[in-house]
Amino acid sequence: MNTETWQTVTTDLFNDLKEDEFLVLSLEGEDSLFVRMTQAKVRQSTQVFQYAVKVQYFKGQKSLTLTIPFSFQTEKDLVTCREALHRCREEITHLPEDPFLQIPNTQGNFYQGIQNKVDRDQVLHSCLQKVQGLDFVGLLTAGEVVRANAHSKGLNQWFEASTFVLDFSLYAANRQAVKGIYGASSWEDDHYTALLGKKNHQLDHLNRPQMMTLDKGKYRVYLSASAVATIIEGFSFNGVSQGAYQQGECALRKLVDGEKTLSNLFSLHENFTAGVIPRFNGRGEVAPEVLPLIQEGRFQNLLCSSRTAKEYGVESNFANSGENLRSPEILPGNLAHECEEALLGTGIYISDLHYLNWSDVQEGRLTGMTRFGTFWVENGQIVAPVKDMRFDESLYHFWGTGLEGLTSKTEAFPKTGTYYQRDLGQIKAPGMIVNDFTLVL
Amino acid sequence: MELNSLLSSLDIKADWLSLREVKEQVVVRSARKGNLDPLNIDHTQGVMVEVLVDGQFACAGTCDLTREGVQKAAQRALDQAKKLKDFQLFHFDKTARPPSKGTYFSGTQRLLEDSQAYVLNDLAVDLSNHLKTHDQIIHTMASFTSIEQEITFVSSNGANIQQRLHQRGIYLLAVAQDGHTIQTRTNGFPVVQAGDEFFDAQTLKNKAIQIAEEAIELTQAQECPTGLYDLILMPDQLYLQIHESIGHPLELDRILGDERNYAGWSFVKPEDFGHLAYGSPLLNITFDPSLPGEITTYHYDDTGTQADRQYIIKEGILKRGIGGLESQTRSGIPGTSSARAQSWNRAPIDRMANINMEPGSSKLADMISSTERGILMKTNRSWSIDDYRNKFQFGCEYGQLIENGQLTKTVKNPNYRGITTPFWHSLKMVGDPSTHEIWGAFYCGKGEPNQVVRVGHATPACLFTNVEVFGGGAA
Repeated sequence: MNTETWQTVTTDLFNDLKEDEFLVLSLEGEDSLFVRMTQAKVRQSTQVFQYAVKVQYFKGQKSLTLTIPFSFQTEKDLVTCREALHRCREEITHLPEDPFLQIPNTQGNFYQGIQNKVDRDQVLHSCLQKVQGLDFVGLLTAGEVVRANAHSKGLNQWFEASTFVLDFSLYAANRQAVKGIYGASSWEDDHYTALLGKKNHQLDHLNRPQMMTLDKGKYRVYLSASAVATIIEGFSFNGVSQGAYQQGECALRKLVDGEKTLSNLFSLHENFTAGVIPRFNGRGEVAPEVLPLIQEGRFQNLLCSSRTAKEYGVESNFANSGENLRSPEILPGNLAHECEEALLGTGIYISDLHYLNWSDVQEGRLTGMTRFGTFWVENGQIVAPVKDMRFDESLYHFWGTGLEGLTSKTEAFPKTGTYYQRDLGQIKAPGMIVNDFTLVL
Repeated sequence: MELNSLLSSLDIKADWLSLREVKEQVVVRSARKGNLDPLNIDHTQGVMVEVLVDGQFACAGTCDLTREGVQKAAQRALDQAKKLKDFQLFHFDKTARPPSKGTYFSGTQRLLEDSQAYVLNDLAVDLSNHLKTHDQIIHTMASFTSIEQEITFVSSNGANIQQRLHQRGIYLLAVAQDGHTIQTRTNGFPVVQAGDEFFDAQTLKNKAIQIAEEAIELTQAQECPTGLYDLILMPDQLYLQIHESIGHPLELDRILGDERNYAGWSFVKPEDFGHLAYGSPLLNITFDPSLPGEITTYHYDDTGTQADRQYIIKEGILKRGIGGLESQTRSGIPGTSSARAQSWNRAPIDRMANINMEPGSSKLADMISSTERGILMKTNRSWSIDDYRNKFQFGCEYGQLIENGQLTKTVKNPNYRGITTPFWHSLKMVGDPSTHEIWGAFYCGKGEPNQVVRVGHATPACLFTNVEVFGGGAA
C-alpha cells in the first residue's frame, strides 16, 4: 500500500494542530478477495478495498474518537480528515473532563512491509482444482492487510501483511465433516495435497452408517489442539481482562483472588514472537513480546489497557481496548503426540468445538458443542463416530483438577475471523486429556 | 456524483450491473460509574459494485468513491466473474435482481442535530449514577447507541431505491456484590427503529433503579433448582430463543449447505416445507418487515426485492424459509425478501430481518396461575446451540419460582436446555397482545466472509411444559 499518502495526510494534519491539541491517527484496512465456496464451487466472490482511520483527538483532560473512511486519494483524504478534526473540536467542547484519560506517549518508528503480494488467482485456482468431486465447503481470503499508527508527538508505525487463509470442511454422505485450515503468505501445492489427504483419511472414519449416541455424564476426553484453540477463543471474552476483573465479570476472578487453583501443567502466555500481528495496539503502545498470564497453574497477569490501569490504579501492559487475547499460546506438555487415540486409551476424541459461551462466568463455566468429528475410542483405536454432544464445564476443572496432560507439540491456527475485516493473529495450542469432562445433552 | 449518474458513467460490458452505496454513522455514548467514556463516532461510506456475466455474479466494494475508484471496482468484479466460469455453482439471471423503485424512511418523532446530541452524554452519566442505588452495586454502565443509515441501490435494469433508517439502542447494567456472590442485571439491551424520543429520561431512570434493586436481590436469592419444570419465558429471553432455534435453522442458505463450514447446516431439510410440524398448533411465526418501531422494518432488501409480510410457521406447520431470490431459485422453496448485507463491504446473503411470534390469547396472570411447578425467566445472559440448531442452552439473568400458581421466590442463575422441535411442541400457552414486546439485536453474526446484521424479534410471553432447568455453580 502507498505509505506516501498516509505520510502526507498525517503530517499535514499534525501541522494543523494548535499547541494544546494532540492527535493519534490509527489506520486499519485491507485489499482482499473473499470467496465463499460450497460443493467445491463458488457461491459468492467479493473483492474489498476498505481502509478507515481512527482520529483520536485529545485536548486537556478530554478526548474522543472519530472513525472515517480512508481512500488513499491524498487530496480527498486530507479534506475528510480535516473535516473530522473540525468535528472533534466541536464535539469536545460538550464533553466533561475525563479522570481516566491516558495520553499515549510511545515514540519512534516501526516498519514491517511485504516483499511479494500473494497471487490471488493462483491461490483460488489451486484451492478449487484439487477438490473437484468432493463435498468441499468454506472460505478463501487472500490479499493485503495494513495496521498503522501515527501521532503528533513523533510516532510512526506501519505493519503490512500479504497472506491467504483457507478455512474449509469436507463433508461425508452421512452429513459428518472434518475441518482444515491452511494459511500462509505463499501457496505450496505439496502442503495442500498432504492436508487434503489427512482430512480425507479422517473423513473415512466418520463416514460410517452407525453413529454412536452417548448418554450425558462425565467422560475422559481428548480435546485436539483445534478444540483447545476454540476454547481459548471463547475464553478470551471476559477471561483475562483486568477491566472485567475490576467490574466483577472476569472468568478468572477466583484464580486471581486465590479462591481456586489450576493445574501446574497449565501455562498460558500472550506471545507475539511469530510476528503475524503487530505488538502495537490502536494507540501505538507496544505490548511485551511475551507476557505470561498463567504460569504452571499460578496467576501471573491479566491483560490491561492504559485506561483500565489509570482507572483502577494498576499497571498497563498495553493491551488493546477490549483486553482480549491477540496472540495466545498454551505451552505444550509432555504427552507424546504421534497417536492421539493411543494417548487417550479409552474415551471420547473431540476434534473441534462450536458456539462457546459462558454459562456461569463467576464459576468459569463454559458451554458449547462438539463438532467436526467426535469419536468413541477404546484401547487406542477408534470404535465409532459419536453424535454431537453439549458440554458444560468449568475451566477450573478442565485446566485444573481434571487436566491429565497436554501434548508435547503445539499447533498454530491463524485467526480466521472476517467480521468487518480480516483478523490478524494466531492461537497456538497443544491437545489435552481431561478426565470427568461433563456432557449434558 | 449522484449514484445513477455514476452508474451511467461506468464503462463495463456486463449482462447486469448495480451499485449499492451505504452511508452510516454510529455514535456510542457510554458512562460508567458517573464518568463518561471517550465519545465514539464511527462513520463509514462506500459502494459495492455487483456484476452478472454469463450467469455468474461477482462483487467488488470500495471506499474510493471517485469515478475512477468505482470504475476500478467494477472492472475487478467483471474480471472475477469471468474467471469463475469453471467453478460456477448455479447459472443465475437478472430475475434475481428485480427493478424495484421506491423509498423508505424510518418513522421518528424527534431527531437531535449533531450539535445538540451532547445532552445524551449528560443523561448517560446521570443514569450511571442512578444505577448505583446502594454500596453493594460495584459497577454501573449506561450506554446509548444512535445509528443513522442510508442505503441507495441502482441497477442497469432500472432499480432505484433509497432507504434511510434511524436505529437506537440502550444498555443499562448494574453489578452487585455481597461477599463472594456477584450478580449482574441489565435492561436486556432493547434496540428499535426510532428517533431520539427513545431516550426518555424518566422512563430510563425508573428502569435503572429497578435493575439495580434486582441485581441486589439476586445476590440474596437461592440458586435456580435443577429438574423438569414448566417454564414461562418473558419476551426479553424468548426473542433469542426464536432467533436461534427458529430463525437460523430456516435460513435457506444454511439448508442449501452454504454455511456448513462456519455457522452450520440445519436439521430442516428441503422436503420439510409445507409438512413439518415444527411446534404446537399455537406457534405462529411471521417475517414482518412492516411493524413500526421494530429495528429491521424496511421496504426492500439489499438485492432490491420488495418486502412483504409472510407466515413462516402457521399453526405449528413449517410453511416458508428465510432467504432471498437466489436461494429461492436454487432450492425451489418459498422464502422472504431478506437477502441482506452488513454494509457496503459485503455481498447480500440470507438473513433474518424482523422474525416475529404472533400473539395468542393468554394473559400472563393466567399462565402463572395455571402452573403448579415452574420457573419464570427474564433477560438473556447466555446462549449456545449446535450447528444443526438442535441442542440449545440458554441462561437468564433473573428467575422466579412458581409454586401452585403463585410467583414465590426469586432465583439466581436460571438456565434451561432442550432440543428445538420437542421444545416448540411443549408450547402450552401464548401470551396475548398485553404481553407482546418488540426486541431485537444489534449483532447477529453469520456468513463467510463474516457479517454482522441487526435483527428484530417481537414476541409475547409464553409457557412451555417440562423443560430441563438448572442453576449455576459447578457443573
